[in-house]
Amino acid sequence: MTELSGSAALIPLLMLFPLAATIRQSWPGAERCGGRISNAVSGAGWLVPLIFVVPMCIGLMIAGRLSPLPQRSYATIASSHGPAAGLAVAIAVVIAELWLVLAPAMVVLRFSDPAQRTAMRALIPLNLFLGLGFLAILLLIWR
Amino acid sequence: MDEAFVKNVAEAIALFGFGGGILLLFCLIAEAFLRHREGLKPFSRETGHNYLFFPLGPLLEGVIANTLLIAGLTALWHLTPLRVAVNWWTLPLYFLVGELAFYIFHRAGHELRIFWADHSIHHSAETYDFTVNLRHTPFSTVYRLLTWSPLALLGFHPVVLVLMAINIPAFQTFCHTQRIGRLAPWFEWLFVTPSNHAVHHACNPIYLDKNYGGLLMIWDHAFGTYQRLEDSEPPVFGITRQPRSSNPIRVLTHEFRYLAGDVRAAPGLTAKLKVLLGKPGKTFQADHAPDPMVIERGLAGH
Repeated sequence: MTELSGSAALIPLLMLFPLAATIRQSWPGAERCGGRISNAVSGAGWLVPLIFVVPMCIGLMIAGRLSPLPQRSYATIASSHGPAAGLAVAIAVVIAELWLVLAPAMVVLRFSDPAQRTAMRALIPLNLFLGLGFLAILLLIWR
Repeated sequence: MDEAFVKNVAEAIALFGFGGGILLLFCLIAEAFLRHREGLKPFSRETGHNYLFFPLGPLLEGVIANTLLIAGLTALWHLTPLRVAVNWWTLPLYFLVGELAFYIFHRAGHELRIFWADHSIHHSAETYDFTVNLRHTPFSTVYRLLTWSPLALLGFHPVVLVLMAINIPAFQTFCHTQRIGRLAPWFEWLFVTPSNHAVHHACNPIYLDKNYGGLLMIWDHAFGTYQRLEDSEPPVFGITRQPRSSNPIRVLTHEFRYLAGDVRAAPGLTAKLKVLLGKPGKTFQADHAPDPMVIERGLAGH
């Protein structure tokens, strides 16, 4: 087993910020968040690393290297790279799944023209359908 | 170069590409769905072209051209004694240089006619939606190689440079939409967003040759090419010499035909070179017969 060094144990802690930012983007009441602390913890800046993380996680899921089930991904990575890496990857899987099933529709809805929001609301069930369908297919293939 | 390292990077690029491809697929389905909800046709002549030009990206670029690009840059990298190490501490530098590389390549694609003939294919879409992402061009690797060569000669690792300069700006994929309005001012200032990338795709005079950034707008601020979307100036998407043909070959060769005509008619070698390397709309123009399938919006060929 390859254990990560002490400083690498900070990675799962750092992953909590993009997770908080993703949850904030997926939450219908996100417009009401705007305090200094909430911006520091879940501000849009924390979404930047996700440009790497989300496509990479999805690619690894397609290749069967990561499971859509975070606990399985944790077990896989923890056994080879240690618990800190396992936890970081499990958090990354949760983030990727939020971006697959809900976050994009909520972001589009929040920033769209108010006059078009009624038509846009249907994006939420579509996003859920596509995301959950994709994850279900992966689970069926790689079970 | 360490073969195992190159293999790992190539594998990472492939996995990243697959993941990004799934997200793009979702965007395309959502685009067709929303068009349907808005009472528009899910597919138009232009979206047909966009889908048709897609293989130029993942197949021609992703499989063949990028391999040649990395090979070419690696050959140059071996010529120089300079080396910029690849480790955790230099990755932010590679990130910024990757952004700069994309900026230079993109600006060359707009401001040198020979490259604009190719890049204009992506910009000749008169709509601005997720399908425009699919509108790839055949020769972009040529000017990537030319514009990124100096960076390889400065010692930047070619594989990491290419990874940074191609994959990070792929974020733009999610910016090709009019359905998201302006975001927070600081975010608009720092990042490529749907509204400031809309500026880049517009052919209004104040928006021409602006906002070349890939993920960040910092190089646009540094070189004075940043322009915010003005409420008083709604963007007109497309190019100033707009092809309206339904023939995809004519759309692909549109600016190349004008370029060939202008080079042929230019008097002398220097004038011909000036046409090739000049700024679109500012070079020698031959008399072209009016084409009913082309809309002239002024500043011909831009």
